[in-house]
Amino acid sequence: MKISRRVVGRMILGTPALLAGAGLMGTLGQGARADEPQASPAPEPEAEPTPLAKFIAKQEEGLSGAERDKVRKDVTQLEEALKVVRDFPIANDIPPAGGFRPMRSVRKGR
Amino acid sequence: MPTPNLSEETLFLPVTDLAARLHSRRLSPVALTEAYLARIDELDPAYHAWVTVMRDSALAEAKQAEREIARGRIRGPLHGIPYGAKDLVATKGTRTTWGAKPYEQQSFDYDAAVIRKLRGAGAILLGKLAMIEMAGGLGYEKGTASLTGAARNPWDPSRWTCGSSSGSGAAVGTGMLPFAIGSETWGSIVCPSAFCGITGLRPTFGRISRQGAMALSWTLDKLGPMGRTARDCEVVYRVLSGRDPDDPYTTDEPLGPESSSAGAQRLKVGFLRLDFKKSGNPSVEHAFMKALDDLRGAGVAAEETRLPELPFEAATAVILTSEVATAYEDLQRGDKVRQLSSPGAALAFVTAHAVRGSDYVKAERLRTVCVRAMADLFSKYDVILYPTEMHTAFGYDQDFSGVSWSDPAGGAGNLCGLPAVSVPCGFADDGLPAGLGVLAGAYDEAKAVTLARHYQSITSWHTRRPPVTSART
Repeated sequence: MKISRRVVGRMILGTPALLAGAGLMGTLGQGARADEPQASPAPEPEAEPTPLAKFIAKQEEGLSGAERDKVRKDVTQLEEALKVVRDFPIANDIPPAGGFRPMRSVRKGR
Repeated sequence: MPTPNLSEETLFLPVTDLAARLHSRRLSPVALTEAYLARIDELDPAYHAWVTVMRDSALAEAKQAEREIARGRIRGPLHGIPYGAKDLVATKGTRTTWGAKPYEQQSFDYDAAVIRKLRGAGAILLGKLAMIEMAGGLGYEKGTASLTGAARNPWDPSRWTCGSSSGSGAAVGTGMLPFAIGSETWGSIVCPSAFCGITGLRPTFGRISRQGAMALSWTLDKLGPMGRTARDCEVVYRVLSGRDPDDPYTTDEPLGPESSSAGAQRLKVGFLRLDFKKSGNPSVEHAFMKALDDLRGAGVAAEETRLPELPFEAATAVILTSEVATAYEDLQRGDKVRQLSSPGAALAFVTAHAVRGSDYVKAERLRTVCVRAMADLFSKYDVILYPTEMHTAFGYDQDFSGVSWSDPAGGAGNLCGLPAVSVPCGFADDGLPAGLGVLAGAYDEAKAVTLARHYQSITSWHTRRPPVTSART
């Protein structure tokens, strides 16, 4: 898949229930289209559920049929975002952004 | 609107003007607090901005401020100024609901860092403001997904405020207080600011301690002010900023000089040209382009630019999905999650099973790439302008599953921890406010505020008052 902001925007727009939080849905994908035509406000056609989506929806206990449908849809859409992240080539020396700092001990009882 | 002794005009004054009157003893902190409390009593039944009004403690704090000011002891620019806090920051002895039914009676025995700092500055806490449940971290489909129902838009109560700082937007917009504390993980300060016609400042990640605030995403959450003017927001932000050992993500980075309205003409300014033809409200685009014209007429020329071609949104989505799933473990246990308003909330935990540990690490590495690219962009520009949202507020009970609405720089800005200001820049053809977004490089809040202050010095959109309605009329 060619990485583009438009592609990313479309896939994330499709996950409103998962990602709507914190104004999230409002933001998803719009950055992706800062310089490209906006996607139609009409709902995008649903993608065929992925094997992992089917598996997760089947494995989880206590869900109704409608909830299993939603899980299949959400996981399928999330997998599109995951594919973008997984496929993005990064050189070996690029570290994660999150830092870890050892904690200095303070001697007590001196 | 009957308000004890004070005009509506006074209640809509910026913090800086209120402080000048309070500190010269032309205005009483007690009278001001009583007036805001009366306005809350009058308006909140129609706007649903508040979870808890702290009447007694607010009046006690106001009396203390009055005594101190009378003795000539001015603690600082917020002394005697009333405010409200989004109900995700802990307040000792007063419930902190996180906007959600499972936490309706939650109480902490300490104050959050921002509450302590504001109390130390002499600000008067009027109460806790409504929010989308759990700051929307598990997803939601309607503005009604809140313990207190949908907050209503100051400019049209049939419309929503945006979220998740919904009560903060409604309360500031209706003049129930002069400033509020909101929070943003992805859009939750700037979107309500744009929809409600107020000004909001999302600080650089790590500028303000989140100790005592509900965590949605440890690497994306920011607290920040929402108020009338960019200068007001800067005043509050500077009081709140600083390293806090209890929030290891806070920074020692110096605050630097304050903004200067006169300095805007020296800034190198870019803008994002968006295509409103297929989606978005064309009259919002008109308001944005008019803002660029107004700035150009005032000596600030902006040149078109673009964001780097990087998957900001995908990386943010993976990071957020992963962090939310562990942040809300408590909800997952037992049946608490089923008490939330949003029927799909419980499924977010299930969907998160698709994310592997290596995906999270990869997304964090991708974040490094994005951070570097945005730092490079801001080596060429001081600020970048964009329409905060491409639409105006929609119906408060509208199901927005599948609806496209926009925060054009939200993915990049939040993933990379960059500051942004949203200021009102006019009205769309539906009579609702539009927002002008000002994005800056990390730790360059002063540049964003400088541009926003300049814009507010040549326009009057931020001074407009909505035709508020009381539920009793």
